[in-house]
Amino acid sequence: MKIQKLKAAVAVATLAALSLGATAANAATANATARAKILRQITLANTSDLQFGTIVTGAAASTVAISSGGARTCGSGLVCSGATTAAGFTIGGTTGAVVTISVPASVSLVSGADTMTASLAASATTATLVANAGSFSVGGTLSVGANQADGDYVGTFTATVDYQ
Amino acid sequence: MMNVGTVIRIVLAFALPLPGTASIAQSCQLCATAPADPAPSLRALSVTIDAALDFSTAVYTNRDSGSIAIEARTGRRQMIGFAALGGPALAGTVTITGEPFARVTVNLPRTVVLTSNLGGTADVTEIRTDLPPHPVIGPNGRLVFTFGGRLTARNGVDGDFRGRIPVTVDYN
Repeated sequence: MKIQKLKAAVAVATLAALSLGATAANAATANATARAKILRQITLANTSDLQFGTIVTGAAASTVAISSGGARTCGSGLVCSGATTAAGFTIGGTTGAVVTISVPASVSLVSGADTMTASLAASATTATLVANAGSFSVGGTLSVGANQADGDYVGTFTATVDYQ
Repeated sequence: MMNVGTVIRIVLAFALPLPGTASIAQSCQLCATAPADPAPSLRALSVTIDAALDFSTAVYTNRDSGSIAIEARTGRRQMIGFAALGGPALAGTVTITGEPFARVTVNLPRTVVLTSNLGGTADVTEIRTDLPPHPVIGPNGRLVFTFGGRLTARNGVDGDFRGRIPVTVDYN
């Protein structure tokens, strides 16, 4: 009797359980904002003087007013003549920016030892720049004393403009 | 004398489970089915932007270029070629929520471009966070961090500048 012995190769299969059901968390994204406001330097240029013209004084004190548009109001007892202008200024800066405008309350005009005082008023206290530019004017009211001494009276004042 | 052939027939019945299909019951005694371990289920991540990176308002000083840097950790601002015009400068702040104690990877771009309402552009570079090298979500499921960067403007560009910084978070 011949006995065949079969060697059976037993294949052992290792079962691999494929696990695909894991709930992996997904990446999360959000957009943050970065922002800045950058402004160019402000420039300010004087284009005209505050000019009260020629005044013949009287025996009583009076006033001469120049509006921000340059129109003159000659007080009683005075004789006024000559050209008048309001002080003019041009502003340079960033388009759309709002600037504040300030001038001193008054200015002293001097001729030798003699003085007069003029109060000042700007045409606006703020301005919004358009095409990188803006402008404003300054008028004032000059107080003329009784029998004010003759002379050429001159004074200076500083206008200030800043970003709001 | 008789030849006896013995045929041993071994029947192996096994099944390889395919994705999406049910496993077939097997009779192999030498086989073993490895238990299918369930993958860990992690809480979904979310990202909330609490504060924008705000360089505030500045004006050029004596030249038409300059830079503004905001430090991520302290929020401190450093200006070159600019003067501050008021208003606080702020580092960006982000809150991540997710699985407590889980390690995460946080990605922000190193550079973004801001565009102004007047058509100019400015670069924000050196974008950095105050996170440690291997950030971990806290026990309360939250991780808060801040980020800063350097804004550089050239050629006198001006206006209101805006840009987006995408913040991406994922589990390691």
